Amino acid sequence: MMQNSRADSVFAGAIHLSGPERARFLTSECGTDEALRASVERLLAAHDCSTGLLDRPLFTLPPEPEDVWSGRVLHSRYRIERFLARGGMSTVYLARDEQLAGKPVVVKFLHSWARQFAWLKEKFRGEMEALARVHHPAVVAVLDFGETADGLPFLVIEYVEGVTLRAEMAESPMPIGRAARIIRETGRAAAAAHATGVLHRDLKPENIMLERPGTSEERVRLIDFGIARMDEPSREFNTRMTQFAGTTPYMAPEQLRGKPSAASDIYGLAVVAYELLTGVRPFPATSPVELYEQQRAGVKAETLRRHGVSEAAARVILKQLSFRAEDRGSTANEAAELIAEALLHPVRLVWTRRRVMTAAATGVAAGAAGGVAWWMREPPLGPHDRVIDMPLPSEPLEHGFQATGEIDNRVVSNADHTGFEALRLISDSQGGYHRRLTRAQVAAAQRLGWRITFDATAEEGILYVNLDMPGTPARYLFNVVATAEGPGFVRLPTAVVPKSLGVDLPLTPKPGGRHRYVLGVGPRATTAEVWVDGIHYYSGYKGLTDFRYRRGPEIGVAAYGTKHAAGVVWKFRFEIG
Amino acid sequence: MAASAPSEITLLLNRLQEGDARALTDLAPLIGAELRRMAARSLAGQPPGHTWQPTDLVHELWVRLLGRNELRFENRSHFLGVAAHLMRGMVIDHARRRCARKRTPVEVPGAGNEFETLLGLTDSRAAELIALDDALDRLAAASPRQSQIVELRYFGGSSVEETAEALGISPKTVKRDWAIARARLHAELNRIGHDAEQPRG
Repeated sequence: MMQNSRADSVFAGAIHLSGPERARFLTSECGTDEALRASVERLLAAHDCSTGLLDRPLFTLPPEPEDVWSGRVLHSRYRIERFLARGGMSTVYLARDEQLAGKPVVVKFLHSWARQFAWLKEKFRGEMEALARVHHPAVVAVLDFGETADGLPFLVIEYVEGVTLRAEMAESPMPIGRAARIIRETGRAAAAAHATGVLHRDLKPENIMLERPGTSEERVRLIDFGIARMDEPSREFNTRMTQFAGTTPYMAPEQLRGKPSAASDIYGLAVVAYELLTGVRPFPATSPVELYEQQRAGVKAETLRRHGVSEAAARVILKQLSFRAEDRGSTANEAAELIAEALLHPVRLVWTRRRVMTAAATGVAAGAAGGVAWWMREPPLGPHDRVIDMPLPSEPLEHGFQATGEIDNRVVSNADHTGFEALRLISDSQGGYHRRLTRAQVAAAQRLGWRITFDATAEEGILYVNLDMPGTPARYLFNVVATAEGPGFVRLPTAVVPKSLGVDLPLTPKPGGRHRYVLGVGPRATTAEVWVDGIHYYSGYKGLTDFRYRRGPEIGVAAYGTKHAAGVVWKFRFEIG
Repeated sequence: MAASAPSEITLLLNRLQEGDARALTDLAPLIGAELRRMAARSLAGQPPGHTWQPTDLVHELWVRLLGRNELRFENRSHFLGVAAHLMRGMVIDHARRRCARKRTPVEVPGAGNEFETLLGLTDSRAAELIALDDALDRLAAASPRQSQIVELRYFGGSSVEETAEALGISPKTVKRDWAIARARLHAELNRIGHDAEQPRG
């Protein structure tokens, strides 16, 4: 044992030395200890002549020989010209289609060891047949497939002239508009493949080709689908980290668990979007295990926000990065569309804020003259200003709404958990979101009448809608009150101090408590009408004068004999006229 | 299963962490069964592409156990060691079975022949692996750590960094001990080879 550890350390000191240096080192270390010297020499000899047994981890497949097909002709048609690349499952060659005037094509062979695996060949064939049925301008076309004389499956695909998205990303930060377009087209391409039952399984910038990059005719071409993808170079000792960095970061949690689905491609697309916009990937993991943990912990919007991505767009992207596949978008197309839309239309009404700031700076002391000049600059009421929607399920603050009181929200998934459809408003006291109205909007609303339509349910406490326009005698408040027994009731308050008084209207029980409510006032009228689920419930509501804020349309929740307040909103719209 | 309740595997890993070597024996059937199921599944035609590499199997098993709340992330380093050990057991099992089959050439139906193909398990390779297994046992007697390093890296496919983490030593030490262990095993296996070539009796 002593001898062993001494030999070990001399051996460890000697392996990096060569020739005479090593000999000198051994002499000085071993001195006259012949046995020690012999032990070390034996180890060194074993070290230098490797049997190959321990040189790579067990199971590692033998490396595929390079360029075995050049010069050969397949199906009497495709002349293999040269080797292009090799991955873990397949090798890719450039070839010429001799029946089409030597048009360049790409031929992809499964590795020769794959011949031994009937199921692998079967699966490859199945996917190729499915892929051949995908006809989409953004999906690289399968031209032909077959088997070599000795039984190796191959695939002939369109040769794409262009650059990879990876190369384009490396150049410079991508403008948001271009990123949005690329994401949208990639999503459409993936959806087209999904429609024929083919998963991409490996959406990443290397597999998104751009034809005519940077021009107005730039076009996305999605390459490298399914089982024969190119991403898995055979593993050697010490290279795992590098390869991990190359491919796994785009894999969804369920894919890491070995069960990829269409939602996994959506996840991959969102990682691409995230990286495209920030230059980094959402999860900085160095191994699949670490990645899985990070995916489970979730990612925050901060990095995206720092790179100028709007809160709304960040939200949509993070949604597609959800740990649970069912929390992502329902289709790749929809997910990409949502991301692109949110990127292209971050905040529609930036001027609202600027105007508020102007007003604040002018201040009361500036007097009426300043106020008049300010109102004069107000844009005239266009058709766009007659309808105010709260786009759901996105962040109201990003759509010109302002927070009132203490309010927070969460997205709510749809019934079959394939996507999000609503916002849950939550508060420990009271709060909501309101939109300010311009003087022109207020004037038009008084002249032409107005209507608030909302689909909602009160879960705890009260869900309320409020409209309090300057120059009107009262504000209109609409409460949906949750009760322990059932769907609750509607209260139209006439006073809230010293106690809540008003008209209570019962609600018909309905699963989930979701109803469509309408609160409206006719042209030049001052009392409101109420409809629930299309039925006229009440007319002549005069509103109340307690706590006037002169706020525009507002929706929120309030604790009412409860500790918390919560309500779900599917739709909220204010219309003038 | 309640998300917060520690599973049997977690408890066993904790025991292992506290130095209770017997926990490994109890863990083996729990993790081993899962590992075999995964190997069988990936060979049965549901390949997520590349699950036959030990690293992937080990990682996949880990992620599955995490997904079912049977493990916590902190158990990871111990898990790698355990999984590599079980992988070794599974592989050597196959190798021994193959050698036994050679002696009594009766084809066992569905007896993991594709698994053997994946292992590149020819008759000579099977013999080589069994010899390696024996040599590794002898190495473990002299230097348990070196033997663990070989298990982690060769049978578990762990990187230098992962191996270092699993054993609580520096990557530098892993590299050094790996070189020594590799040389020792080669020397040993070569000697066996030479002995075998010498005419006997």
